[in-house]
Amino acid sequence: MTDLHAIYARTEAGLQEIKARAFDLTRGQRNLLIVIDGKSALGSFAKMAGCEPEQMGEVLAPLVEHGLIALVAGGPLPAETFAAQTLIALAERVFEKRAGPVVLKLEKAVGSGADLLTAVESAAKLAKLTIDESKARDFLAEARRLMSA
Amino acid sequence: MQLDMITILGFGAVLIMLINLFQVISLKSQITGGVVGKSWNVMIILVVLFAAGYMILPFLATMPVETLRSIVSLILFFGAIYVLVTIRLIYGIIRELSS
Repeated sequence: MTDLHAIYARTEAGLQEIKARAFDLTRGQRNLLIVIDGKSALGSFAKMAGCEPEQMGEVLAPLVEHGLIALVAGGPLPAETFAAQTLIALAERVFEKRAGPVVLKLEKAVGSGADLLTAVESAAKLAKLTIDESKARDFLAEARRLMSA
Repeated sequence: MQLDMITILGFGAVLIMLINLFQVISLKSQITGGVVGKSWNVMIILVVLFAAGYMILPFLATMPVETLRSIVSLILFFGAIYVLVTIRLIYGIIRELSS
């Protein structure tokens, strides 16, 4: 069973593969190779890889076998980090291309060890002021629901 | 062109308004919507109008009085709208931050 909390990073060979297309990768594998960032949990890339989280192992395996990506950190993440990554993924889903400032605010809060709920409320206010009022409300409601779950 | 205090002030005003125009347009990419975004589009239009209106300042001396009065009235009118939009925007921001 693939650990969806594990963090993978692209290797030098992976970078070259993006340009060269030397391996016969599927679209999902190629997408995963492009988006994998050495910071986010593997599970957060399922949508971009075009599969369900439980199918990530099949998408991941050839990339690891060819040495295109490598494990940076494995095992369960601290609960706070996992919650933050879930919220960042939520922000990216709700605000789409305009998620940048909200994601940045959440990342900064996690990096500085600030309270996550305060960071979420602050990010939602920023979104309400500068992105979209109704999406900000949706984000805050969904984030609160996730955090209380 | 006579370089008196009025002309210098006029050029100064045009220069500052062009800086305002640059800033208000630059910031637009960071304010795509929301409470501020709604007002921002109005502010861009007003700053564009001001910038255009201020361009006539160096030629004030050569204009007929009636034209001059009309232009000044328009600038004052849109100036009042600008202040209103700004105050409402600040009020909206304070309300959001204190909620």
